Amino acid sequence: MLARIVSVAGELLITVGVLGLLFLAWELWWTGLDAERDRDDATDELFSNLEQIEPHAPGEGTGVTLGDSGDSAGSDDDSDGDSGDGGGDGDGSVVPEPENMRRFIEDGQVMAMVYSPRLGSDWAAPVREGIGDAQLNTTGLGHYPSTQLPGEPGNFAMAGHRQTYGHVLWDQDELQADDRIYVQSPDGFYTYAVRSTEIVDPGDSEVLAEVPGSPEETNDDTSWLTLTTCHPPYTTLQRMVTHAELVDHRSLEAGAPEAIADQVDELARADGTSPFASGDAETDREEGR
Amino acid sequence: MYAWIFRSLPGPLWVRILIALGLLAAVVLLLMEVVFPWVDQFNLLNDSTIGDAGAAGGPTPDGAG
Repeated sequence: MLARIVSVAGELLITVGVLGLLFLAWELWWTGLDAERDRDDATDELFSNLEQIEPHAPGEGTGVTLGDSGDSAGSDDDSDGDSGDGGGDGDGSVVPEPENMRRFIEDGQVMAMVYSPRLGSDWAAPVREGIGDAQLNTTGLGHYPSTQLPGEPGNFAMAGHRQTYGHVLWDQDELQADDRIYVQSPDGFYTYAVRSTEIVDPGDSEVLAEVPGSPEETNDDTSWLTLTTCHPPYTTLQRMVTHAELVDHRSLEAGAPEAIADQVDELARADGTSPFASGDAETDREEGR
Repeated sequence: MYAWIFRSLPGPLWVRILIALGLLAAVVLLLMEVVFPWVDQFNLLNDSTIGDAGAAGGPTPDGAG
C-alpha cells in the first residue's frame, strides 16, 4: 500500500516537472510560431498599403535638425541634449510631417517597418500603435502611444519582446554606438544612429520623454528613436533601453537607403508587387480617407 | 498511475501504444492551445514595456489609447 502511494506521488512529481518544461517550451518557442506568421502578414499589409501612398507635397516640415551622422566620431557616451550640428548625409530635404503615418494609425494599420543591419540582414520588424498584448504578441514592435512619431521633434519609442512571441529584440544588446536603425514609414525612410544603451527599472518612464532622460525639457529640434525590451534575458526584472538619433530622411520615391535596399526590395516582392519599382499609378485607387 | 491507465486501455499491445500516444498528443495540444495561453495572462516572461501601462499586465487599451 505504501509502495503504491509513493509510486503515485513520484509520478505526479514527474508530471509537474514535465508540465514546467512544456510551459517553457510553449513560452519560448510555440508562441513564436504564431507570432512570426502574424509578423509576415503585418509586413505584407504594410507593403500593400505603401503602394497607395501619394508623394508628399513640399511642406514646412517638422523643423527637426538632423543629427551628426558621426561616421568619424568616436564613442559618444553623453547623448542627452546633444542635438548635433545639422548636416546628415541625406538628400537635404526637410523632414516632412508624418501625416500619412497618422492616417495609417487612425485606420488601425501597421505604421512602419524597422530595420537594423546589426541585428541581421533579414531582421525587419513591423510596428503597430499600442503596447498591449494585442500589438506586441502579434507583430514585432509596438509604439508607445504617448510618444511622438518618426521625424517629429521628440521620441519615437517602441517596445518588443526579448524572449517570447518571436523575441524580436532578443539581440538588442548587440546594438552599438553609431549603428544605423532604419524606419520605413508611409512618410519615407528615416535613418537613426544609435547613441546609447542603458538598463533601467520597469518604472523609469523618463526614457520615453521627448528628450530621453530629461522629462522636464521640451524638444523642438531633435528626433529620437527608443527601443525597450526585457532585461536580463528570461526575466522581466529590468528593461534594456536603446536610444538613437535621426540623422537622415529620404522620401519613399528616393528609395531605400543602400544598407537595406536589397531587404526592402525582397519584402516588397514577397508581397507580390514592388511599390518602388513600378511607376504606373493604379487607376481605381481609393483616395485616402 | 500511468501504468494503470495503460493497462486499462483496450486492445492488443500495439493498439494500446497508439492510443497512449494519441492521448499524450491531445493533452499536449490542450496545454499549448488553451491552458498555457490562459496562464500567460499573468505575464511571466513577457512584459517588455516601460511604465504603468505595461507593468500592470492587465488588459491595456487597444491602439489609440
